[in-house]
Amino acid sequence: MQHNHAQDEFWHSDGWWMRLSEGRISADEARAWQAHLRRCRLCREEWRAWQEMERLLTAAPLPRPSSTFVEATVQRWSAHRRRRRWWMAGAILFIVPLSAMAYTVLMGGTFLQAVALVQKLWAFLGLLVPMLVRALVTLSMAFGTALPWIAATFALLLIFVALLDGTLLAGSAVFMQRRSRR
Amino acid sequence: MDIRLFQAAKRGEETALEQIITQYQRPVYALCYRMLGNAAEAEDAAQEVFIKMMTKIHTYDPSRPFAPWLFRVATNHCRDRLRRRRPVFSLEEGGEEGAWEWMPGNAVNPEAAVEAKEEAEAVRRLLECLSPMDRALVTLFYWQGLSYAEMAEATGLTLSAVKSRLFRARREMARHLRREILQPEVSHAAQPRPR
Ligand SMILES: [Zn+2]
Repeated sequence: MQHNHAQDEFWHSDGWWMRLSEGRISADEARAWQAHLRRCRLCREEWRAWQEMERLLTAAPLPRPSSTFVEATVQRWSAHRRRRRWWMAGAILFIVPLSAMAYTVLMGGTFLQAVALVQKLWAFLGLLVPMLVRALVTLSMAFGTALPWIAATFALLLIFVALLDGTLLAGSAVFMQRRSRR
Repeated sequence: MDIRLFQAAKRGEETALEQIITQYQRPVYALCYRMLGNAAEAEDAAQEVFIKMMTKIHTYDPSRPFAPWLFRVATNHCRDRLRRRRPVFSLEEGGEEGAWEWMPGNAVNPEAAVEAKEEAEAVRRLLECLSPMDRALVTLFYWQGLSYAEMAEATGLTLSAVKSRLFRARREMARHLRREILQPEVSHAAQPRPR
């Protein structure tokens, strides 16, 4: 047993088992390994379990999804797309009047003028929606699935500007109120 | 993947999506099933994988193979799901839903069907002793037949990490099996040999 100790260490090393599992062993090594297996119960059991595991996994069939899988997934995708379009349209509808209002105030208009502008925009909503939808369709043709990301970046930028302008708007409203009181 | 099909999918065309799903539904579903261990959840997850694929398709480089990229989307998605599912982390929930494994097409007689079902359960138990990432590696190796390089691409691991992790996962499963089926012999072998 003593003289085999170093050799046993070799057969029990990760390096050997890794090569063995990948089938990267020479004919001489295969023979020596068989001899070791006859002597070493631990390796015999481990190797047997390894082969049984291989057999189990390679014999297991590839599972199948249900027969309606393709149809259901396509339906889910179109629902997802529709929802995303509505969100985008909603965001634009929210941002446009807000930016218009902010812009009016920024260019020296009063709060009341800005409100009047939003009222006008509201009146044109019937015109605005088909226009937006048409613009979205054209844009999605041009940019494909990258469009939501471009739109989101743009919307974030607009929201940032609108927030800044919104602060100015509130400030100017307070200022106007004070001036009219005097 | 056909470049025209890819372009059409990039524009969000449903027919292109339909073709891609038809082509890849089985490997994607199988990966989800092996990772999640539950037929209903795997179906839901696989559908979400294809939706994610469509929303991310602009990040795919068509000069590279498509399957590893798609498997990466699927692997990440299943790992996210498993993370959210913690601490309930069992593959056994599948239970009777795993009936596909021994459908009439697979088994010729009732005994064979029972045996197939037992083996399916044994596979489930083997995968259960692994981490989600190792489960993904084992699935890609045994059922999708990916090379080490493709597995690295599909998981985001380095080539050497794939090799060592896969080896350790296989050894873990083998040892699990040894403990499970060769129990009496093992306890004996663990003793030091008599002089
Ligand atoms: Zn040994």
